[in-house]
Amino acid sequence: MNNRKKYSAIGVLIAALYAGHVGASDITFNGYASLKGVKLSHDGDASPFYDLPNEDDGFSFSELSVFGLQAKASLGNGLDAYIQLVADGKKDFELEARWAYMSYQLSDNYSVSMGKFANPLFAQSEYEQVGFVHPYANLPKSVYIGFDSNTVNGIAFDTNHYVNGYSIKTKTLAGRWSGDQFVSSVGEDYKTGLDKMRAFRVEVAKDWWSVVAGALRAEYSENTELSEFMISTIAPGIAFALQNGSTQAQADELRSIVDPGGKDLEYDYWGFNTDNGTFLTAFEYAEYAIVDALTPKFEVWYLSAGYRFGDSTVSIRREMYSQDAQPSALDSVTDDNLYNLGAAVQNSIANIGFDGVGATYRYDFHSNAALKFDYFDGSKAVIGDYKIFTVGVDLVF
Amino acid sequence: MKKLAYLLFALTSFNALADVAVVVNKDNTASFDQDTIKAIYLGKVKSFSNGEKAVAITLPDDSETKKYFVENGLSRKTGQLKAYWAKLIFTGKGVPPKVVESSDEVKKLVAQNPNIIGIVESKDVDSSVKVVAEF
Repeated sequence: MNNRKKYSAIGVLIAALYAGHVGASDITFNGYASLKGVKLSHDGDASPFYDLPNEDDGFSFSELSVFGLQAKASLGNGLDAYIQLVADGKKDFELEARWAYMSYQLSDNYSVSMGKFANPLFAQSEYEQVGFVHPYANLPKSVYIGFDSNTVNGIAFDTNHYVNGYSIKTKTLAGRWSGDQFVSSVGEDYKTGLDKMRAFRVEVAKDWWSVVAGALRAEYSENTELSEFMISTIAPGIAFALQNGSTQAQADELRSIVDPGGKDLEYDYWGFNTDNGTFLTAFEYAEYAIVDALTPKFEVWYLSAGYRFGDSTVSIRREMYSQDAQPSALDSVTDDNLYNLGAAVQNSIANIGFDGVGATYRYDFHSNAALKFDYFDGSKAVIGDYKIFTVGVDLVF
Repeated sequence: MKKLAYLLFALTSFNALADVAVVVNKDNTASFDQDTIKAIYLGKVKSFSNGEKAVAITLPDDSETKKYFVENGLSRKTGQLKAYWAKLIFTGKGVPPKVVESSDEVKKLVAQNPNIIGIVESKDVDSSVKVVAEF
């Protein structure tokens, strides 16, 4: 969406909210802000993450900062309209309607939402930009590496029950997404989409602990920029193979493997969280892949432990992000030249995972604001060792 | 006998610390225990046991009564509770209890509306409201 369209859509939504206010009993504004400064140092020439500044940039205050404002119009009888406007440092603080949806409370236990809202890709995806809610300067990058598909257009059905002290929540979602996907090997965004998206998650909580598990299935849109790019990477190699004995049918087979279009995407995750007021632990694991594609299978997790004393919290964490090639993806390629071509592409986009350890000190200097210092020491294939120091303030209002 | 004396002392000491009262309208017929009150104040339960809608109100963040209730009634630290509600607010899953300025205002609202549940300092309780728990 270009800027003019984006701002005009936001204007229409705000106008709709205010128009709704004529008959509304209540309109509520809430907001959050994270102002972060980050300093990166690394062994290699390239930055380990595209959304972080280069080492030479010094201390940068833009990339990780984000500001959000949410308006909720209660129209009565359980009908609410939400809009969440976000200015994200990663996108040059361009104002964007991250969420815009209507929600209808069928009863105390059931609600249905329609529009553009958070996609529960991982356990904390729905509030991943609200830094105040977690002890880290940023949610662990191993899991929350930043997908454009963390919002979705669709319909969601939420349930919420409280039984014998246990809180049980579920979300069932159907929808679609279109947007950009970052390809790290070339450092570019390519337009793509996810169709037939359906997701389910369940969360059980009691007093000081909670466990969550979820799954998402979707189908990559066909004939997108991403598909064109992926196929273009093998075009010279296919031309060479065709000149050296490969058949057109064999070449088409490899093209269909390289093209993500029409293929299934599978996400599965689970995690737990404990917080008894003094000791905190958290763990999240996720695995995701495009089925039968040349792209890797991702396995990511983090484990953290923390201690709260007074207004301070210290936490440490271990993170792992691996992306291993799916060897079976090339099983149907019988021609040696084409197999070697596919394997070369496969290896160029796999095995560039990272891992590391981090520590955060959080100080709640105000009931609505926290100061955070974070240090992460990591290692990434190809890039080498790197260190990230972050200082920032998270607040909610 | 010594044990009984110790128990009486312990109970007396406990009562001396119980300075927050959870109050409802005098006509409210619902039953309450600590878990139910906690669930209502954390937005996990939205109705009383009698089926009527439950609307929780609370005191400002800097109120000692509220701080005491959050720590002892809800078993949370103030910052922890703030983060809990932020998650619900920004996912459209809940709204924190409305804040009113004083115990007098809590009592006034509770006395007027059988759906409201509030907290006041125990010494401020009067006959206009019904106490359902103390912390």
